[in-house]
Amino acid sequence: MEKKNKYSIIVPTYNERLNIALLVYLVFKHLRDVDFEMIIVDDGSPDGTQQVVQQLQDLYGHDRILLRARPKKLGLGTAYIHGLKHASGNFVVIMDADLSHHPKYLPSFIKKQLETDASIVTGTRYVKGGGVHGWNLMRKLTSRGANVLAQTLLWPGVSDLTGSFRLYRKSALEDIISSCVSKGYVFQMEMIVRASRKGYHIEEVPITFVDRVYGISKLGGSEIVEYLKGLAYLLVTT
Amino acid sequence: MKHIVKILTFHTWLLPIYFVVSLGCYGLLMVGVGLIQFPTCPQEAVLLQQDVVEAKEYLRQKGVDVGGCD
Repeated sequence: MEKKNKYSIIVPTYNERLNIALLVYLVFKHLRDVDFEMIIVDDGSPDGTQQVVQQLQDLYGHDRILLRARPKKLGLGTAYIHGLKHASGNFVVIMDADLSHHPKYLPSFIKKQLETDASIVTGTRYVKGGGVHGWNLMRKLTSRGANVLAQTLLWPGVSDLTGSFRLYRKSALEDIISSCVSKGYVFQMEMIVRASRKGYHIEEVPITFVDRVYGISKLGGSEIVEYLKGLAYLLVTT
Repeated sequence: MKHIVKILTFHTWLLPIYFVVSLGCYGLLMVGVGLIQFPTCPQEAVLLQQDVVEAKEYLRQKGVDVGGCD
């Protein structure tokens, strides 16, 4: 890339020993000519995720893969804040460890940012070129319902609110994250809605989402209730 | 028949209700349209499996522990 940009990729993990190894391999495969580091925030996984990360550090370099573990499960939002403290890049990428976010899209995030000088580039599943695999009808219905509700009530200006594959200018992420209070699923939505309200330049790139291959999906029924509460909260506070 | 006509008569004071009902209809319609047009990508799952095989082979050669739990 022509400018001297550095990208810090923050990946929160919990019991992802296999996925994290596969993810690291794929990130290094698809980002060959880019200056980047991966910051893995592991919440004390009992399955040996951290040992695998140490092996990966030996293989790829301790300066390229940073392990910033926390003693126990402390939640996604604080994992990003924790990772951000250790980020040395001027851009930050946030993605899931479970391979539902494929690293092959990273170059298109970077390209889009360079072309448009956006502060945030967010991956969207709901445009041409994007898509989802592995969802049943119920999951699709919930997702569409949630999206229509949020689009109608919040007018966020982005087509995919709950996706969490995003690239941020570091200063923008620091600014937005400090004003976010939600947890879990709603957190991603709050981030992008607040960013939109603050007037940040947001661009979208299509991504595909293949629901987790290994391990169990972490979305439960109570998530819907949490989502509705989060939506109501955002409606009155933004 | 008479009372049906009575319900259908336009009342200004019911405007907010009309608004909410039409908003609901719009929402349901959008969910339906979204479901019909839901973008799927079955080929991506196949491609990902190929990537997984490739990654596992490389990492195993390099001595990273990729066996086990799954």
